[in-house]
Amino acid sequence: MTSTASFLGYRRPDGRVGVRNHVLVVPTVICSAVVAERIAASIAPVGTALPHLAGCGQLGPDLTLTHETLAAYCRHPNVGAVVVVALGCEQVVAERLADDARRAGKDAHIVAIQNEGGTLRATSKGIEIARELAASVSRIDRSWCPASSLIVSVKCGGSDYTSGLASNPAVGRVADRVVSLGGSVVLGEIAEIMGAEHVLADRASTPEAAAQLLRVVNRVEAEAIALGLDIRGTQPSPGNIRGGLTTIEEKSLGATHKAGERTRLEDVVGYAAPIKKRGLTVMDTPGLDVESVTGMVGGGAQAVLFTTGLGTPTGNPIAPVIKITGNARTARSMADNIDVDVSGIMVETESLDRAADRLLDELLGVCSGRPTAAERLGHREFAIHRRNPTI
Amino acid sequence: MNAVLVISERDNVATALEPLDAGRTIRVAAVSLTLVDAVPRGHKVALRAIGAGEAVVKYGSPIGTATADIAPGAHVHTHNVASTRGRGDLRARPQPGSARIAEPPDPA
Repeated sequence: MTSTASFLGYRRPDGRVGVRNHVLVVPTVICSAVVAERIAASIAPVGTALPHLAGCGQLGPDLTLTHETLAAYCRHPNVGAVVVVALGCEQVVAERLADDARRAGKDAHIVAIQNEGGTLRATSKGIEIARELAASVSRIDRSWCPASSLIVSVKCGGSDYTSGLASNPAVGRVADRVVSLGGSVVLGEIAEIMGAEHVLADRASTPEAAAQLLRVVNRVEAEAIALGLDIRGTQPSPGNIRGGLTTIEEKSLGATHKAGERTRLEDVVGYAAPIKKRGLTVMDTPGLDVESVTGMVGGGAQAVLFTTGLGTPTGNPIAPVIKITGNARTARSMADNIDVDVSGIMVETESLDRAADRLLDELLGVCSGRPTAAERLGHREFAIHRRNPTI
Repeated sequence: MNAVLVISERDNVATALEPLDAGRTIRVAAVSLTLVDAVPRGHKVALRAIGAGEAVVKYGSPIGTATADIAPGAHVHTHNVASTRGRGDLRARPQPGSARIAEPPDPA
């Protein structure tokens, strides 16, 4: 047990701790996404954009979800400063996003394409601002921070039989350790709790947390049933089925191992909503990898432990995503996407505890600045969950 | 390394850690089991007879229901196990009168 586990992080003015120090370029709406990406590219890799498909043509809950997800990224401790790129006539309000960043103690500026007079002028003004911000955030130094300041997202994607037997239990032991060190763990993907909800509900610290979990799982199941279809085909996916997973119950029981064995379920929160409790939080996200990671990072996770059996490249614009596989063939065939190979667990050449030791070391190393495979490859996938049609 | 892995003593299936040929006999704990089917790596094999309608158990929990009688040593997968969760396809068909948009009205 690493009782003094710590890492070199960025202490932010609002008291939160970051593991990256990005200048975030946020388009308010799909219409300003290309300008935002060009501005971010001019200061890569410090600059990172959040291209998305929303920001207009949305009503009620979806508009709120878009706004709150973008605002959560503006406040995120992995972000040092913010440029908001607006069009000018959209629903998402640039000033509100900039205010959120400023309230978290970050420098924030707005460039509006209609105000500046087109793509070229807006891009050029944005690049000028972004270069100044990149210079100013580069003067923020890392300092030693305790593991208790971490919120770690646990996630699986492209699962096969090795996920439930090796990589998920190994990540689960890291989750247990992070929580015992005073940190937080967040698990998403409600559809992949279906069939394993009893395991988590039994570990709820309060009857309310257990009831919240069952409510949200029942809602997702009712939504699937209302479509009049068998969810087999997406849960498990065709690749999961080829890999030997037969039903969603089987996938869920294996997936839930990621959340540890000793962690207590403390809270259930909405998509991209702030994770406030130490211990285990479940977030209401869909099973689609990128939407799920986007939500958990929005909730405050600084890093993601992502297990995969078949191999998958998913990253995130502001948070390091660490890829872990228990499949020896995937470790070889997709070596450029994999950070940690725990396939020794499958052939009993490595114990779960030893694999968890290596994973915790990797997590703390990455949180201190070591780039992940996804970061080295430029994987910065971002997708905001939406529940309703575009109007 | 064992040919198969049994996760919980309550389980009635084991996971193949290598491709298993039909006819091969493997040891599982103290018993020997002869493969009825070929079982690909990562797929499941029945440890005992599982009757149609019985729960298939892995990780000590039900992962679905057998849709046919499954013999010991048989391949256990989507052809003989159904999920019990999220099955909108099993929902009663909409009654006449609840016709949705784009459906012709009932001739009545």
